[in-house]
Amino acid sequence: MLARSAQGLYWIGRYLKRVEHTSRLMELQMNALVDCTWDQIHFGWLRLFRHLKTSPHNEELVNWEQHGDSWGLTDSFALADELSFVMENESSILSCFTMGRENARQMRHCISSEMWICLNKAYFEIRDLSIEDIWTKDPIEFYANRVQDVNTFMGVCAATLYRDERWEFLQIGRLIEHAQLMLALMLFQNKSADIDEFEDLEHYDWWSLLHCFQADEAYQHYFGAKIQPEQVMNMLVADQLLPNSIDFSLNQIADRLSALGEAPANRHGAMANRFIGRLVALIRFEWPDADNKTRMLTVAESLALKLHDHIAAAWFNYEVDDSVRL
Amino acid sequence: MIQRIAALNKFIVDVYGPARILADGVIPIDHVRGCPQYRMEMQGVSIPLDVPVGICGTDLVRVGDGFRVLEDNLRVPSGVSYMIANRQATKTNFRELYRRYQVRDVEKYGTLLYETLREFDPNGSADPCIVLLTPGVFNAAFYEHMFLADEIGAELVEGRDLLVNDGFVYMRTTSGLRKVDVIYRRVDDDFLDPLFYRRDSILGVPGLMHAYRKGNVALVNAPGTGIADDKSIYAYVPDMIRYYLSEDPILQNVETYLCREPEDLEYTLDNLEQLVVKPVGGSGGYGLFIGADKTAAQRDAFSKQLREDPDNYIAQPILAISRAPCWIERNIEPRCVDLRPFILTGQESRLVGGAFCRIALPRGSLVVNSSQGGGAKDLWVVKN
Repeated sequence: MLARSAQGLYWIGRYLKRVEHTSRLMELQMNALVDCTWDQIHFGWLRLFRHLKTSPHNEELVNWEQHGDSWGLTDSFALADELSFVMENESSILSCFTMGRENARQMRHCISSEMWICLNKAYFEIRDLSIEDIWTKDPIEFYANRVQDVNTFMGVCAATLYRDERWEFLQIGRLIEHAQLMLALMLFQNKSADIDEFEDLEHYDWWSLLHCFQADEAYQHYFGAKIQPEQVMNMLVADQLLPNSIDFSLNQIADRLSALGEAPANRHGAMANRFIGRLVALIRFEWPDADNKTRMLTVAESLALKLHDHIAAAWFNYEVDDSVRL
Repeated sequence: MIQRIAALNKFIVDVYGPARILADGVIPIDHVRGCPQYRMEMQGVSIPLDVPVGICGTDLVRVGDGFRVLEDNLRVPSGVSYMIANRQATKTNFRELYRRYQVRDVEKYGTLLYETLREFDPNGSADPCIVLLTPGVFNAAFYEHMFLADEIGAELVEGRDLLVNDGFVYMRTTSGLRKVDVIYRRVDDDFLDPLFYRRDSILGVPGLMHAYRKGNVALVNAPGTGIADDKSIYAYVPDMIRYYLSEDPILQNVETYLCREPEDLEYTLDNLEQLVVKPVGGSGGYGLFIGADKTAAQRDAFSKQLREDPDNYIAQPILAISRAPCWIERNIEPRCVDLRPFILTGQESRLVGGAFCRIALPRGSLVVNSSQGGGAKDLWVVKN
């Protein structure tokens, strides 16, 4: 398959995963605005912006605990807009949806027409919306619908996309994005546990994360109703059966890379395989006994970023001299 | 149509080869060599199958006494996907009517196109690597490029997906570099190869012309075919048919006045109100001057322009071209139509029983070009 088409599919997977991930956390944040303290709300915004590695335009993230509701809500309105509709913000839901669709538009001949219709319908539903349109109606439903849009799209892919390299690259993109975002999220979460300001939030926040990534029922089933932060983190990072865990994604990436076989640029292909091997080993074998979880997450995050670079160099942008000739 | 394309192909091979038609004075040499569409780089190049125009879209109109050729599109003719899409829409919405009329099939175009392109493979392999070269997603015809690539099972490539190494063209795939045999190019000559044509082009492939001239890859259509669809050359097509095929033309041209000829120029200036004047290198309906639609002052101003640069224009009578009933804003109204049948030529010429039918949407307009807001219809060629 054409390298550029593979790259386009890879980025469709990445952008749409980011839409889903951000929407999940935004839904959580909108729920927090209903009945949580300003400390908790502030923590939620900080977590969103920091782990997505973005920042609001011309704004500081402020804790409104001392200042009252009206300013806090106004601020939240602007921050929600930033992560939902501001096209200049590359992490906003609309921006990622637009980029995912743009990649699909260029790859229309590589995807099924059902996939295109599904993505297009979802895109046109949000393209002309603004934060004002959703804020006074039902913002929670809006974000829940975006998660559903992406899930529907992935379901249509699963039902209609031919299981050749197209499928593999789409999945690799989705899984790498998931692994990177979850690593960044866990890293933020882990670091914040050591900050006095957020000491009281611990219980609330871990539970909400479990809920956000559909791990709450499994957690209750295996560990009971008591929230133990370390246990929650172990589950979200290293549970082999939880589809949203980091371990699950990494293993899936390893399987997909193995299915792809030899890359046109052998050296980078081998590096990609070594990096995913190290990541899998790190999370599966070193994580359970590690004392310094923050350090381990930092190393894993850096490896996951390099994994992307090697995949791109091995399959998408390889040097002519390195490449295999058919 | 087949007669016409046969003569046009022979003409192109001739002017880039021995140039017999010029030596014999059938067409003035300066009309050809001075034409902006003449590509010096094609001189002496061996063209696969001796068929520079594998895909031709010729515009026809019907007037009182039959069909006339308005122009031949020999460079990168477009619109065929709309012919098929219109048919699919008709079949969906008028199923019973369609069945009753036994309409000829146009949807086999993709198969015919694939067979034609395959015949251009310079290596004659059983499974040649065919790609469709597009300028990219921002090109107005990108939908068609995608549609056709899908129809023929070819990769849809951009210039950046291809590279030339040791005189061969390769495309970057996820398995390595794959040698390309046939390129159905939808990129204009000027942008094909920055080493030969426009240096600032990022749509083309550096070294592509080198590979083509060595015979290692086929380009369909060949570069330089624009020499035969230039409007000033159009007037000579009936002469070409007589010269190369020793036959009388079956399809007639529209009467054409070459403004570069003093007599024709005077006639044009005297009868501007009854004529449509076209720039010779133009396309897409741009730059047309329809005398009847203009004021006296506008005609005077244009006459001055015409005198200053007569070589750049031709003139034709305003035709009473046929109209068809169209559904316009909940009413049935007459609109002018033209037809663009597509002729595929490899080892033989092939046509589907249909054409891209364009309509001029504004009331009274003669301009059917899609780029000027024209619409389209499904054209039926019935079996009986």
